[in-house]
Amino acid sequence: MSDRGLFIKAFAKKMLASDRLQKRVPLTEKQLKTMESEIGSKIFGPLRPNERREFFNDNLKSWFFHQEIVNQLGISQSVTLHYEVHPNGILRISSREDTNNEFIKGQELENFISATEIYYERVMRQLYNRDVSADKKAV
Amino acid sequence: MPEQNNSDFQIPTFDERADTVVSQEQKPNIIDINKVQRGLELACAALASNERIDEASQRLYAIADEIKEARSIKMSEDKAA
Repeated sequence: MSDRGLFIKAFAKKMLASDRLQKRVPLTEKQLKTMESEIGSKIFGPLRPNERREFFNDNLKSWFFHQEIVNQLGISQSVTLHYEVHPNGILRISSREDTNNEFIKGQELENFISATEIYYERVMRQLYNRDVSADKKAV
Repeated sequence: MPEQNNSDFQIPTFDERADTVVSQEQKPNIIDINKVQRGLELACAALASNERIDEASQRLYAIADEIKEARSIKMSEDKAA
């Protein structure tokens, strides 16, 4: 193969490789939820080194909060709260047996609503490039 | 019984003491205004609470719906890119 041929081959190889690199793999819904959860985890203040948090919207009716803390003995303690939205209230279902599943009210309800509003605003702005704070002000 | 002058005159109130001075025959006609008021307050609070919950649920459905739509748009854009 001539020098020219070798050059074209090398060039084509490089171009194809860069094309492959540029072609992004589309994000799945699960990956997007994971990214949203990362944003959601920061709503509740800074994380401690031994702490992991998740907070995300799963679907029209479900929100999840998960917290995991590893104590000094290396034992992990965790709780998962599933908030189920019903027309007549928000039902909190806990993974812990010592916590009753109940419709939230009062301060807990207000705190949950605030958290979802912050989540919505941050996720839309940081992940989906949409500023919804202006929409809210307009309402 | 001493005669009441205007300064001593008090408008009767339907308080707890009413039960003790009102005979059994008169009782059905007495309305404890305090209890009625308290009942109304509780009813109003329950109504306001229900309205708040209803409003909150509707808002949460709307938020979730918008997030769902944003995810779909993002996935479509990524596919098209």
